[in-house]
Amino acid sequence: MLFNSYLFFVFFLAVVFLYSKLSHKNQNVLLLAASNVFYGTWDWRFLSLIWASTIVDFVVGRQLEKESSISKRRWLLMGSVLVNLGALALFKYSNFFISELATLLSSLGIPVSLPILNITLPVGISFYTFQTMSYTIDIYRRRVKATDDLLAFSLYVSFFPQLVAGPIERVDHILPQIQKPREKGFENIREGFYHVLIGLFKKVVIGDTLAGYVAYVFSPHASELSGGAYLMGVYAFAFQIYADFSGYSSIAQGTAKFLGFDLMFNFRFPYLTRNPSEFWKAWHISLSTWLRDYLYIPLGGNRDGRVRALRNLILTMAIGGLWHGAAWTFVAWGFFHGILLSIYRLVPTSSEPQKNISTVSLWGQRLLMFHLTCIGWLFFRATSLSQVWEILGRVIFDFDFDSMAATGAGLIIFFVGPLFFYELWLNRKEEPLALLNSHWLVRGQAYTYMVAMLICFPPFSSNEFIYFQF
Amino acid sequence: MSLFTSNFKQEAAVLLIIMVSLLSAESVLRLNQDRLSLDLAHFNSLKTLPRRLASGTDQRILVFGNSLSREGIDVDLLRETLSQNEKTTSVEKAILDASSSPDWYFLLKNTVLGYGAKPNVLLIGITDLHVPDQIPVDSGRLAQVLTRSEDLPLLFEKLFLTLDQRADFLLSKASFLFAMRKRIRDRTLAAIVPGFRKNVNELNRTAYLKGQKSIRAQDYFFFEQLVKEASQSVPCTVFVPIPLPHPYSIPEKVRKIIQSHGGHLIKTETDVSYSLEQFEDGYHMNKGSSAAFTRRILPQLQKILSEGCNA
Repeated sequence: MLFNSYLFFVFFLAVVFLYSKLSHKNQNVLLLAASNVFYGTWDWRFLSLIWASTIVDFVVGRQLEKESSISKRRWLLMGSVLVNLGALALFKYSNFFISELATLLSSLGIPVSLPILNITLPVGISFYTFQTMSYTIDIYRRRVKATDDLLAFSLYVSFFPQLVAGPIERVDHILPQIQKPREKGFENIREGFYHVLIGLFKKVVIGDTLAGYVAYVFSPHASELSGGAYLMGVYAFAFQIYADFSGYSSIAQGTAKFLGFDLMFNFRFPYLTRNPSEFWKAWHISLSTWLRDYLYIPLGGNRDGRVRALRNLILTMAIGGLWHGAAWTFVAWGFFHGILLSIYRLVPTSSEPQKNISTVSLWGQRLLMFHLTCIGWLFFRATSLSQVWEILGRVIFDFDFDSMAATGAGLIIFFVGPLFFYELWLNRKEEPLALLNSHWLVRGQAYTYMVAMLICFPPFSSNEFIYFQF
Repeated sequence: MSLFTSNFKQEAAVLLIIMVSLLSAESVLRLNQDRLSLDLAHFNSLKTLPRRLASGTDQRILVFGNSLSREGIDVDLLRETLSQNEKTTSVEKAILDASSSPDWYFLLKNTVLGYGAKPNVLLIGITDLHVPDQIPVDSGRLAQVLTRSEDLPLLFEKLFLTLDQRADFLLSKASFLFAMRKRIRDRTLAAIVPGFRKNVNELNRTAYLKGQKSIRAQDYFFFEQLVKEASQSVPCTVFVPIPLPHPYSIPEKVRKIIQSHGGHLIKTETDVSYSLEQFEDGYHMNKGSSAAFTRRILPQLQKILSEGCNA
């Protein structure tokens, strides 16, 4: 059930209607049932995976709370991590490891034919697995207390607005909202509507429309494209993935808000950042903070000197890349960002706030960071590393701005331009909800623009949310 | 707590702005249909079809199909040649761009016959791609101009099977703006995005090839309905396979459907490769090849007509 489908619209209306009639406890029961229905529409068989993950982490959490022996606590934590990562490894990475093992063996002169498993990737497994793991690790670190409320914990794991593509919420942010009665009020509807509308606009109008151009540029038969068309294809993908994923996150935030929940902001104008460090504080914030807290810091963080800190950084980002998908292109993307972050740490730079530096310098830094990000996206989107080199070669050494490149540029300007200026305005205001506080006439025009674009500019072909595959 | 706070009033005003804007756009579009799309302008001109296919004429031929038929069959040549044997002949077109058998069925039933036109020969241009039910249809055009309320059960049973498709269709029925959204998109982008008109076909081809993977079995329900409707209402129905740049053959199932309802299928050698130069834009025949193609089908058509259309 996609957020941008009529089925979800009907489903959500029914949930909101019933929700408004129920007591707090029954609201939670309804949300848990609705979350299971929501997930079950993709593949009901994989509900058992969510239930298993929920029960394992609930029980381990309770045991960790009671247990005082360090070694037993460590064993409990390892058990939980093994179950969660085991499921992830089996469903997401087994075929990748099998094919890489076969390649390695044959390069050593031992040709083998290993069986490829016929496995479907359960939607959202990377997201809910990381969410439940953060719960257990936080209890292990005595940062949070284990809950004895299985209903609330189950809802924390499977809450439908953020179940399949995040944000990866922390237990101390969501569980209290589940356990306490939520506030009702017109403000929830007002803010929820804003998030849903802008999310749909980003996803359907920008993301899905640019998807057609991106698919063409990265398709194997397009190997004779000009450097300009490739460059526009990479730009288009940068905006497509941002619009798609931040659009999803906004709809998640909006639907949760209708129900009285506050989800975190997962994006804060990432293409207006000046350096890799700022970028990762603005892009997929729930994942980058997860990687920092549960991977980078346990690896040693920056506690053991500069060299080890850089190693930890690169390793964290490469694993973060692998989290996105079982392919070397994702690892290369993560590695590339690890290198960028490392260089940024090594080079002395000013940490002046954006408003204190000159316009020319600010835009120079933004443009540089955007293009570095685009090189990363090239690794991310390419079907193979050889395609990366081919596209880079064409853009750098054989640049030609032909008709297809002009079409790409036109599509980007027409669809992304208004969003770009809107986000620039929000960034200047330093307030992501500034539109909600603006004059109603301004809001009316902005909403009319988004609704009109949603009606009049349907995508060329419908696309699922990109991050569902991760 | 009262709902009628200042925030509520402001949001009501915001909603009012949206509604007024959308209703204005709806009215403007309804009043300017012909300027929005040549296709719609042509459709609206079909109201005069009964007059143009005058019943006093000996041969009243209606060329039917999509843009492949419009560009592929030379109507003037057809009229000129068929008028030579002392018979008065009128030839008209009922063409819908990017249409296929579901569109043609409803166009024949509700528009051509519904307006009271009485062609005695229906010349329908087909290809293997445009006869199955599975080809994507323009639900907006079907909803706004081609179907009636009584067609809804059939559409929901055979064509719009998912909730999303049905909702799209119903919204298109309710709103002209929603129904015409793809036309608005294409016209706007063609006007402001450089090279869009030239490159969009190439972009669509990638999307089409991607979509093709999901198509398995082919059904011909609407094609059969079209043939049935034509055989009951029009004395003579002739199907003309229109050449494409790539070779193709008409599926056996389609041949059987035509045969079982007394229709005629002209042999046009579509199973051989044509030269790309014969196609104006890589898809539609140019003027020269259209005339040559029409000359090639004329003897077969004349034979069918001279034999009184007996299959």
